[in-house]
Amino acid sequence: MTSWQHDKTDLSATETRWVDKARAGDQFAFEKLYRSHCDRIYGLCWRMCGGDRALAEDMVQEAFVRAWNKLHLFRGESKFGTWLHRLAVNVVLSDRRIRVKRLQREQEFSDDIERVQVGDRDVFAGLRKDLEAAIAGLPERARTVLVLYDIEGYQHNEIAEMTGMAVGSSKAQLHRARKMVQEILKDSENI
Amino acid sequence: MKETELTNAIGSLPRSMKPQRDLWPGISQRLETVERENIVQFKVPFWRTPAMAAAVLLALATGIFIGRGLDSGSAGQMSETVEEYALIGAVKATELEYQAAFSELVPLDYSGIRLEGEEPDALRASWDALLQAETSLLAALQQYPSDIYLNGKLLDLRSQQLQFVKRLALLEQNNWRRT
Repeated sequence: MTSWQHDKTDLSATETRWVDKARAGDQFAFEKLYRSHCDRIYGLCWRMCGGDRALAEDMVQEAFVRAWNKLHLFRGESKFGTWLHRLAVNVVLSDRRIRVKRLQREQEFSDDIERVQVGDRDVFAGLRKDLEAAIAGLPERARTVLVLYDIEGYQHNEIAEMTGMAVGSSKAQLHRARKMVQEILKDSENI
Repeated sequence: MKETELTNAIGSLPRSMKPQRDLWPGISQRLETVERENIVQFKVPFWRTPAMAAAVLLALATGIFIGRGLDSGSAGQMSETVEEYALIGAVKATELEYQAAFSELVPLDYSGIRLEGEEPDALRASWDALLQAETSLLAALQQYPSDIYLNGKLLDLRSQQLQFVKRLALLEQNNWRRT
């Protein structure tokens, strides 16, 4: 076994101990889990919220509180991070504010009136910055599928299950999202 | 930009991002609220249950003794009083409540409930004591159904049993959450 594999095993064992302690009501152990996964969950929420920092922060907090309350349901069949990630996706998808924004955004895009880019535009430079802005400016459903598929690595059947859309719709939304990102990037190059 | 280049570029975006502020204090505050709720639910120590059951048994024995005495002496004078009707009405209401609570407990399979770390033997002994008191009291009430003392004791006993069942349900819920 290589040292890297040793490190990975140790990390996994440590995390299992934290999960066990947190399940027994140890908040200190749960804080360690938070510190370990916070950035990953925040990145997910930030993108799914279209770059809305305040909303993303709310979602992260909600996801961790919900994780604490549902820890007894985590049976260790998957990694804790995977379980938490999926829980966070569900938190964002089920948030009412997101749904309201989604309706407003879809309206804006279908009418093709204005394509407003939102988010913290100062976070990344160059292409990365443009990409983030383009993703943030996508309609909600298209952005959700693109973020979950292209960035987070979920499969279409998993996305369909989480979002309640058909597998075919998920594929169509991904295609649409990529095309729109291409268009947005093309437009920004021309400016 | 071609689609493959685009998907590669999107796929290479960093998955992790640092929030601009520490979100833990807000989370911790909400966790503490949850914890406090649980503590409030379990603030009565479980060692008190056996003591309460013993007290009920003692009171029951006294009640049966006095009740029998009254029934032979002055029961005729008291049988039609408003107080008695009110008490029997209260007993019936408590009986219904008890039956409802107990019917919820039975599907949980009392013997299979996980009671690690909460003195399961002591809890079972308490429940057995309450059941023993119930058996004796119901037998006495069959002989003297309108006895005001016996009905009063049944009211007390049902109240104890209800508290026990509710506490047991909360304990079970808490154990599942912890394990």
